Amino acid sequence: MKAPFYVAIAMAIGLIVLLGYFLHLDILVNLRIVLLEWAVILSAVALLVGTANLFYVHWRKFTTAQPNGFYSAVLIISFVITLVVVGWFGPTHAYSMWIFNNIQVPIEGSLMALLTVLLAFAGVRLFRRKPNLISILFIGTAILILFATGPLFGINLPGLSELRAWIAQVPAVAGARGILLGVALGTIATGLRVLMGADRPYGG
Amino acid sequence: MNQLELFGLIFVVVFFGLMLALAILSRTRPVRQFREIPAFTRLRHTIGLAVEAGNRLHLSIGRGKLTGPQSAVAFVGLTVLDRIARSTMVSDRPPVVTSGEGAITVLSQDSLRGAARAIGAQFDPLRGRLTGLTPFSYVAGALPVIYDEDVGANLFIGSFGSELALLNEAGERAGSLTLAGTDNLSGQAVLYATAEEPLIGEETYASGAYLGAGAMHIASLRTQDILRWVIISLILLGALLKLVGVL
Amino acid sequence: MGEIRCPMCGKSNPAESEVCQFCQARLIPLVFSPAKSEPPESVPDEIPAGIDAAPTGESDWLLDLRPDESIPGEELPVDFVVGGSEDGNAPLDETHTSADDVPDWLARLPGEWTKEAEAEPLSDWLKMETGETEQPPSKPAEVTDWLSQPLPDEGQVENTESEFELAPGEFPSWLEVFRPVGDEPQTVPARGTPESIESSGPLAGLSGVLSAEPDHARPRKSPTYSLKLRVSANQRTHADLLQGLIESEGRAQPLPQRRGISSQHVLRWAIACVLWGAVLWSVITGKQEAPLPAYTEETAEVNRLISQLPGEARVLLAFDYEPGLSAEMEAAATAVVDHLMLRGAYLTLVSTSPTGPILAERFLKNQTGHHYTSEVNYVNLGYIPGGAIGLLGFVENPQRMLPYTLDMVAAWESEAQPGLRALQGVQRMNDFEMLMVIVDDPDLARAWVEQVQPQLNEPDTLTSLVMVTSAQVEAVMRPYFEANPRQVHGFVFGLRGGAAYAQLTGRGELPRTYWGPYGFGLVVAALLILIGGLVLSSVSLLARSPQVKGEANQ
Repeated sequence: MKAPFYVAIAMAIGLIVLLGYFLHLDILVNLRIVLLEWAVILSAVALLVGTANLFYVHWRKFTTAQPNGFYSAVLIISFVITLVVVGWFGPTHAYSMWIFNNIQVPIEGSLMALLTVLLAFAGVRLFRRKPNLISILFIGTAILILFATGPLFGINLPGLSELRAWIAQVPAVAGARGILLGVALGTIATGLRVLMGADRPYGG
Repeated sequence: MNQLELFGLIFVVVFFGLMLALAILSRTRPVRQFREIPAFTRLRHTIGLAVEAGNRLHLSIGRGKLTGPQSAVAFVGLTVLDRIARSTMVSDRPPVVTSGEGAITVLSQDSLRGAARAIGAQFDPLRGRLTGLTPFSYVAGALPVIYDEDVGANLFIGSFGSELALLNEAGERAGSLTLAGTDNLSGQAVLYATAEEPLIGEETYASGAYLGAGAMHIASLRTQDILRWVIISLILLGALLKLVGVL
Repeated sequence: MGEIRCPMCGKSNPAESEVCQFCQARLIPLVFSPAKSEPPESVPDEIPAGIDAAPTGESDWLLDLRPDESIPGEELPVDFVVGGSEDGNAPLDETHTSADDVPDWLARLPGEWTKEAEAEPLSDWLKMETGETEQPPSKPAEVTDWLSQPLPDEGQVENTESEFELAPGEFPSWLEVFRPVGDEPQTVPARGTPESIESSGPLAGLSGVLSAEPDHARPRKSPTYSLKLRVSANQRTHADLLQGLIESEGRAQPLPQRRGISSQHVLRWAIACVLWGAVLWSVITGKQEAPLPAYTEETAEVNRLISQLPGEARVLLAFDYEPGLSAEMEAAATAVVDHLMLRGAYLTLVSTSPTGPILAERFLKNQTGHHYTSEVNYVNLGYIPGGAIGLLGFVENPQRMLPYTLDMVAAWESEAQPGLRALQGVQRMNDFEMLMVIVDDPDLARAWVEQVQPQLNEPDTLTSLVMVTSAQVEAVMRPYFEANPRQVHGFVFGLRGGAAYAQLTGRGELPRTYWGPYGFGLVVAALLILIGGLVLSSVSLLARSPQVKGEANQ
């Protein structure tokens, strides 16, 4: 009996927000604003719930002696220290900034560096994995953009910058627009399905 | 209401009407076959193999916010979760879901609970996990799931950026199948080079229809196809009119 | 049969259809070959009564994937259990079901396929082994090769066995030992033969007389019957194979060992060493000094807009990038924000990312040469929760969405308080002279443009929207810049844009430092991909060609 109730609530709220965007009736607009504010608050609360979930997952992993539980212990200790320091001193205090500048930024930067290597590796293997015309085009374009983006030892190859600009402004933008149009259609379809109750990612 | 808003409202109403009409028509008229998308064929096969072999399925729904445009692709991920959870929940190793956004984590737990309730299996809330709040911390948190939990197949369906390459690589190194789809442009470019089975463009949004999630999914896919052709025609017409100097 | 009914929607489809024409549900169930198994992690104790194991809306192919026997608490008929029937006869195929065997959840499905399946005859050899003739079992959707091989019928089996049958007298002694007692030929003497001698009664001792006691009244050992099934060698092989498979199911399989160092690992490490080594060498030696790139139209436009800002202008500065991309974003934005600070702009900092406010603080602290202090020259309003919706709320009513600074100081001007200097006179977005968004994600960049645009489109608005983006956002941002009228008034993309801006203003140390090593790294990466790809594909082709030749020769 609960499911129809949830569906009715979801459909009604979805309709109010959608119509409030298009029709500028005072009652609809005000309702929409209130509902959106609720959504923002719920979103912030969900962030806290998610963080608690993260902590609990690693707590259980550590206490039940699962494989690599040591890393979970590191996470739990780091979590508690950061919570105490930022909670006590404030987010802009020198201690909080030290944690951010010397732990989080370097770790994430390292993962970015790792990603660079992986993408180069993927590029090397692409010829072998997908030996077709599209792959050749893909890699050819990537190499061209790489050559033309940097200073290239100060050498100015005639036409290279113009070619890069053309690729970035015409085929890349055209492809991006095409994909975005497809994504937009898919987004509308998904939204309408949720609005109609055909998709119900809530209430079990 | 300005001109743009009016056009938007008409577009949404037409979309809605077409979806409804096609859903009703599909009850009486046979539906034509979809074109083959190898990723979905392989996905079905993989789910079967994973269930039979007792391997775990790992579904990652990305870090798209529920209160943003990325929520649509996150909903697609949740639909896929619902479909596979009902099949694999009673297997030796129920699926595990990771995400990078709090609200999506809550919804993924809800989907798992719903699937467990429907088939009478036990529900463990920690099967739906938030692994990090920034793109790289999210990936760093998801990597141990791929490596340590005997995952047979990884499905990455949601909003991912270029960090998706790290997940694909991990899946490949762990010897498990990876299937991925995202709405993010950079993510799609990376997917083509790194994923075994990439879902490019709007293919991700077709997941529900290809996994048999219901008539409305099929109807919405048909509607997307129809309206895509309408948009293509309008673009070509506009370009032509511009060329001849009318616009 | 010309039609097959869909188990999901109940509509008729042609018999050859694999999936339903109406709902795309699979009509022909899939069967998967068994693979390694692992011990179950958690098995629920029982299923609550009345739970629908086949929920509505679940497609056939998914239903078929569910292993029937693994549903806990499902009451299975005895003869369905893999491993043998009730009387301990030989095991049957796992998919063998009769009408009674169908689990509840499967039986509740609409459609006729189970009935149709039941009509299929059982293989002869299975009939013989089970002795089942009354209820022919269903035919599995797919059978393994050895099961699908034609099997000899009973007559053939008899003949086959008779060919190898030895005469009783020829049995070797060791084999005789194993002969069941009951197999011994009964040696009841024929009546009237000289060997039959009366042993009781008055005629005792005489032969050839009618016996005084009936044969059945005489005490004798009861006959025994052989328990040995009469099976052919082929059937024995199949049975052994099946038994082996069943036994292996319950046996713990060793976990597959992770592969050691492979050529892929070596290649990865080689690429990493070359790439990082090149950049590191370039940074340490400083030999890769390169001229800064020429500025482009969109970059020049940003420069013009900032130059035209009035003194003490109010600028909203959004830091919407992640720590992982902070190196690129800081290099791209340094020269631009430096220019803003030179103009003496008051900055209001916001972010839709939880880490954004701290990144903003970090960025401003690294801007040496300017003495910008919090709550005087700039205000950090912190994190806007709720993604695009939160952003929309902030754009429509910034005071309501973020009333305090990061240090919990009331930020906005009101009747009760004067507010902070950076926000004096600001009530809504149009009151800022400029909105600048530093963003690394294409979706976020779009969200900013689309949510802010309605405000900027209002008449008499002089607020300009400027973006500093990651290189990956360029393709998304350009159409907004090239639109008429412009939706984005100027943008700087990536390190290249930042370096071009630095050249334009003659300031900004960070992009100058990065530009040379960055360019060198790009060239090395491009060469790696080109040369590595060619080498790898050549090796692959060379390795493949002998195989192809070998196959052609065969």
